[in-house]
Amino acid sequence: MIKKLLRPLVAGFAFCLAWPQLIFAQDEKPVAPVGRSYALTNATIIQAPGRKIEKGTVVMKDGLITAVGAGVTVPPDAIVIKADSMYVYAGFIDGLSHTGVPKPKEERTERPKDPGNPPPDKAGIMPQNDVRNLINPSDKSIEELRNLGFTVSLTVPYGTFLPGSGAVVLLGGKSADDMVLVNNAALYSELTGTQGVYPNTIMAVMAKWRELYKNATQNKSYAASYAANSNGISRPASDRILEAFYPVIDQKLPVIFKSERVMETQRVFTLKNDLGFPLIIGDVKEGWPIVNKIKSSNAKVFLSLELPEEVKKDDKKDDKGKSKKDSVKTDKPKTAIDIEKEGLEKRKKESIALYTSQPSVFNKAGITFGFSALSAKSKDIQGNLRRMIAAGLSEDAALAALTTSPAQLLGLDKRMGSIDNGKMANLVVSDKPYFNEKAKVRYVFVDGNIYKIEAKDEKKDAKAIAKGTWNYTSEHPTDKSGKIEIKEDKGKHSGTIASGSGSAVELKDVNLKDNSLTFSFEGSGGKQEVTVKIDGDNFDGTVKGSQGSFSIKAKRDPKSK
Amino acid sequence: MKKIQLFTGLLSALLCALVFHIDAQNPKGKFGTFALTNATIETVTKGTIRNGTVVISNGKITAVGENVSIPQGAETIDCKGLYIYPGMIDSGTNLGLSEVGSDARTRDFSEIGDIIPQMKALTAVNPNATAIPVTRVSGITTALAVPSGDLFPGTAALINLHGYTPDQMFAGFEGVVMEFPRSGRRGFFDRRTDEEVKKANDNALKRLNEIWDRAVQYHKVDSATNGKGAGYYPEMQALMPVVRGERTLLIEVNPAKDIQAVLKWVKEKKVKKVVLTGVSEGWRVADEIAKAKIPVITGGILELPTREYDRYDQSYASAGQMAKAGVKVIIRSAENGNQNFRNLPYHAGFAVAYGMDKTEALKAITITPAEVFGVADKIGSIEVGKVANLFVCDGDPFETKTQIKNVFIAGWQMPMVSRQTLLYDEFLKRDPGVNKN
Repeated sequence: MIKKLLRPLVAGFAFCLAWPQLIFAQDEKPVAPVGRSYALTNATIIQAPGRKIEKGTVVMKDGLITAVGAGVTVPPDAIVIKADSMYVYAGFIDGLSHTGVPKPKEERTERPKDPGNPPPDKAGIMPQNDVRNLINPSDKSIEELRNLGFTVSLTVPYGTFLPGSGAVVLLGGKSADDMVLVNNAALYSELTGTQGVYPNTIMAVMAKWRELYKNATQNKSYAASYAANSNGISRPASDRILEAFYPVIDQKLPVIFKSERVMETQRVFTLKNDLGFPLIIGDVKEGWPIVNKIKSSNAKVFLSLELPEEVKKDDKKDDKGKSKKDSVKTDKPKTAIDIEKEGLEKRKKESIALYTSQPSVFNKAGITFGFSALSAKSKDIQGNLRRMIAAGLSEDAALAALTTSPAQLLGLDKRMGSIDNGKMANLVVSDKPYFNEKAKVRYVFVDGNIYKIEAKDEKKDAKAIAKGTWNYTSEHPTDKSGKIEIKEDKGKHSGTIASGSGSAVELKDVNLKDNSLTFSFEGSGGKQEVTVKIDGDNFDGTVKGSQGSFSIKAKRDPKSK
Repeated sequence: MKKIQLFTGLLSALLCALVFHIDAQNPKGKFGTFALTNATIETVTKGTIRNGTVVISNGKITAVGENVSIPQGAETIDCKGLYIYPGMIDSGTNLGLSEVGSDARTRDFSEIGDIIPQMKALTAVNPNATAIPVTRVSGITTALAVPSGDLFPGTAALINLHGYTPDQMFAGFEGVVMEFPRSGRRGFFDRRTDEEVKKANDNALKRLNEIWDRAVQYHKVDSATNGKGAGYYPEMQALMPVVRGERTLLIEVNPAKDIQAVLKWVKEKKVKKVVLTGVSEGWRVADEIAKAKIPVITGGILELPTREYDRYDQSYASAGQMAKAGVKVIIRSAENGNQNFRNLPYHAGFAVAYGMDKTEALKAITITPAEVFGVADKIGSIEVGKVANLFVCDGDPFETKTQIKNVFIAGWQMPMVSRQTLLYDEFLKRDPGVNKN
């Protein structure tokens, strides 16, 4: 009896003891790999653009590729990954992005007392900043880019004008130092002024750029002569900002400019021609009009992986329009507005095509270029690559721009860019050829460390099921909650809706496309149109009627499916 | 006034010295040759011997039987009217790993981290834990010290309850502990939604499989390179003998659904040596456990039923139901919260009262665990050549009125005192008494 009485007490006590464990349990340490020796067997290996091995094996040990080929023996200590029917590529290299650097929160800073002469940090002049101090190895951006097959990134700090120096980093590692391959790889700059302070306009930014560079040149030579003979010469002041330019002046460090548009690129070239520093132009989105100028500048180029959105809907409209036009042609003559609209759509398409075909234009012009993920959303990157290929870029050229070319541009071609003996074990393994629409990256090796990518998209791809009994809640003023019954017969949907108070009403035009469900019904406030997205046994969307638009959510009874 | 203070100070110092003095004079164990004569001997493996003698020499049982010649110089203990049983084995305790529940410094059974199979209970066992003498004077000579916590909380060790170092106490078995992820809620305080519970369980299972795959990989690399290629990885080094079937995996699991999941998991992963522990709902799936031929360490028996709608006596009956279904059952006390491991025979006794065969129950705390732990050649029964772990009592040890008269561990005659007997004696003879004048 006493035992029974004591039991809750003991349980409570035990719970108190266990509580820290519950907390710790949630913060699990990743499991370290068993060793750093791996063998990918029986895979199609694309060693470099144009070099392919069927049914080959790649062996890696301690972060290096130790053997590649068809008849390679697997060493006994290697963990074997059977990559039958998979495709192995060298790890991709991104030429410019903020990967690993958490986006700073926007803070409202006080306006400086003299906005015409603000402290350097307020004006965005911080070339002495080192991106290593800003990298967070667990930042989401690293995993996002890595899951696409990227293994190395030239990462730079956030900011405008002169945010600091970038570093070439591996997309994996426990600490920032773990990740860094090349520290101080380039000085990053944008031709964007800082709001509300000098330099604000483009002319001021360029003027300030020149001023800083020339001051740095002067300071450097003064410091050199002081170092040679300090007698009778006043001591040069220490200046971290100007000192950051010294390796640039010595031609040892390039300046990487974010250079999206034609005008921007041309201005950057003006600065380069005036001052003579080694230059990389990054995130180029609109370079085709001056492709020859870029070629003759000898600047290194990273083209943006961002593309303007495709006008899919308009295409369909066009198609529909055409078919309608064919039949209605005789009835209705085109109005001026129609012609104008058509013209606009055409110009839009042509313009987008220019962006999409940029890499192929650069390729044809014989420019070695890489890609930069600076402004591209990671979910769009694979699709955008396919669009570039569809617009004329060969697959080999695309692969080169992801592997060998950026390795060469960043001076890392001896260490990476292809699958060869002695190179870093940076690999990407996909289940189909990478540029195939259905290809999914399965494994990524960064510096010989394996990252397995879960195929979680499969669920989303699976068609949503609308059938069942859904209990909904809505912000609708009258129909706040109730039941929706949806039936399915040979792909056709029908159903009823019953609000908490009223009787069941028939649903009209029930349509399910992918995971979006639409239907309408006659509610208390007239015709109501519902559009929702189904996610498993939940849906979320809006109900529109004469009274306005309201949110609607529902949960399905899983048994009713 | 000061004089009085000085006097009381001195007095208390003297008293303290006296107390320590008394403690220091605690009777020691006695090692030698003993002949326990005229006793009813429950050998467990070879039946009951009436009016028999057990000879203990050099830590071993050297003779058992009715007509046994007593060696010269042996100390004879007349056990007329008394019974001799093999020392009991409690297969689920944190004995030696915990001293004061409220003081974290004395709780060594739960280390931080979820994958720490390399944490060996044996290294943490405190031979001077107060619960050890309390347990052994009750006839329990051997116990499994089990770490607890998260997924792989450590390696359990079988210890004899006498010795001055853990190594002296080691009884020859170690097993890796796994706490199988719970699919249900942790208790009334768990306010997670069904989805959250499921997600947490899925994640835990995923992690478990990930760890197991790593261990298999480690084993492969180690085998392929004759131990040279596999790097320093203590977690995997500790799991490797389990993968190879050289070491037992003790899987703590309780809800019926989870037991089924464990059976499936064990089959899938081809784990060779497995013992299920806890198994409070084992009776619901007893046939499946029996079919899988996996032994269970069940208990505590003196518990409430796991579900509100179960019969009040379900926990008492569970061990018997599993045994009847053909499961090899071991009974543990699991009295980890209150350290009353001495109650082990009453846990077994309740199992008997609620349906378990009495011989089976006795085996479940003697020879069966010895067999399962692979030490049946040393302990678990009274046979010639075995380690002299046994106790003498005046009746059925499953009954609370039975007094334990003598306990031998590895041939050492144990002093029949513990913190509890000392306190009992102290307060039985209070001076001054508590009577109101």
